[in-house]
Amino acid sequence: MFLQSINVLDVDLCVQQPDKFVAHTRASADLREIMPYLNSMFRTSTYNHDAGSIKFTNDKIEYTIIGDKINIAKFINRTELHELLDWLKDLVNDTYDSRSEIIPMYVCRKPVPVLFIYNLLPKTNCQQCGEKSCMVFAAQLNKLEIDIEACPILSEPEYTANRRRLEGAFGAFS
Amino acid sequence: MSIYLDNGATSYPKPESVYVSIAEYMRNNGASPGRGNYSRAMEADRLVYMTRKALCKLLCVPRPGQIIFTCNATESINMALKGYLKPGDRVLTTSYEHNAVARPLKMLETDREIKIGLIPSTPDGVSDMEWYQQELSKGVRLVVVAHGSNVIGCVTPLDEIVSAAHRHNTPVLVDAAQTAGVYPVDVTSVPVDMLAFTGHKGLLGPTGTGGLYIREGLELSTLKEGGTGGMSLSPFQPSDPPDRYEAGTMNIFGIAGLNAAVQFLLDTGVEVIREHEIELAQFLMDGLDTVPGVTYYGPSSAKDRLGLVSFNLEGQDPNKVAIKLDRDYEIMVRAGIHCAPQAHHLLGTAPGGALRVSLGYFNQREDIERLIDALREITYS
Repeated sequence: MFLQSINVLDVDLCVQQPDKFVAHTRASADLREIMPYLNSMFRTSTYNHDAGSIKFTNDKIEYTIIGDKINIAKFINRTELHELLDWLKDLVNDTYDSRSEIIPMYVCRKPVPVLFIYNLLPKTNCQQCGEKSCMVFAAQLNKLEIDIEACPILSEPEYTANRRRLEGAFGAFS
Repeated sequence: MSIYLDNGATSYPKPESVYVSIAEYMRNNGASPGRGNYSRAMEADRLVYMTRKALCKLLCVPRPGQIIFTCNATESINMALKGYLKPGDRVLTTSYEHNAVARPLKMLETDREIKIGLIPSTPDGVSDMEWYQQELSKGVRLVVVAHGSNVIGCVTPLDEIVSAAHRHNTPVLVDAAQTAGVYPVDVTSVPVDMLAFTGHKGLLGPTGTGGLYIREGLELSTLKEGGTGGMSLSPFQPSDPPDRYEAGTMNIFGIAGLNAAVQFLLDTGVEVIREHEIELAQFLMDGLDTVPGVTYYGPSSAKDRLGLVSFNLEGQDPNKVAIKLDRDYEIMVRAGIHCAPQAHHLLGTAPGGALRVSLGYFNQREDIERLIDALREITYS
């Protein structure tokens, strides 16, 4: 097994969201070798090959890995933390075992600019997506914290071309 | 050498790993889980999580956070009933419930004016399903059933009880005190809404441990509030399980033992334990058939019952027989009402009750042979 364990070093309140926690942990193996493969799998990842670090988000949980150090942020309690550690350990080991089938990605993804997204939106501020305005939707989409499908107007025929451009912009990086 | 036949009260002996695990934790760790950022507190935290995870595997619970640790099944049942029922609610339950269910319900009958309906049952513990389904259609807030009776030994057909209740959107609370660890429990294939268990009976762990499974999406009012080790600045109890329901320092020594016990069960296999208990229970009933004046209660086939048999000897006070078995033969059985008065009313054995032999994984045929020989001598003396 590539990664035997991940040990929790400390748990603290999350600065960004004080009702959630952040944990600093240490893996039993240096994870640099696996990072280009994780980078390939997560469209939310920010990878720095030279620094040996990667950051990605999954189910609203943020993971930052630098060598053998792993920070996990925005979990609700310690039970969830241990579930996440189990998930991450399995993910790393599965990725390591399957790396011959994954094309590694050594470059950092570039985010799609907020204004580029905004210009393709209906700009009706209808709030059907659950956000306060189209600009907020664009900012959320830029951070990949909302799906394109959340905007129902983009599914209407007159917005087919805009939707395709948006999907292309994100698909090009995913 | 003494013979212990009271596993329905608490199991004995425990697997060797349980003793080792508790001693190891007490001597070499001793920290409180979730209450510190030093390595031993983190190890304690991990141990609690691993125990939840092992229980999830045993009971087919989807996520560890759905297992709430308590002191015993009684606390779990109180947490469920008092956290879920509201004034005027109607509850259906059986006639063979333990006082762990019957007494909190009775308290809620007074305090919250809930209404309790008892599902009619035969002395073998077979519930009147037609009556049950008719009552459900009249509006019932909760169904509470023992998975297995601690007196009759019958096993409730949970799939029928749950599917009928869910047709009326009524949740089901199951008291698995007598079944967890010795009888297959699967909350995924039979989707009960809450399941209370104790750690010290069939699960083979220490006393002072237990838990409540709560299905995802079901939220209870809290039975207690207090420290959880996190979000300490907030004046309110955390809203997410398990912390929502687990105020106060945990019984971590007990959990260390429970973890080893559940691992033992997973390694051994509940099916293997069940087969052993069926074989012993049948051997016991066959032996009792050879003792003059014995009447035993509940299903006649060992396959239809748990590894416990309650019985009486004609003309003999069960309490006196139990004392004689202990003093003269070093055999420990339980006599009396077994904290389940309604079951004894159903059997017609109140107020004296009955003798109960409850078997465990570590009992052997020789234990039963010695019991039967002793009962014969008592009968002829």
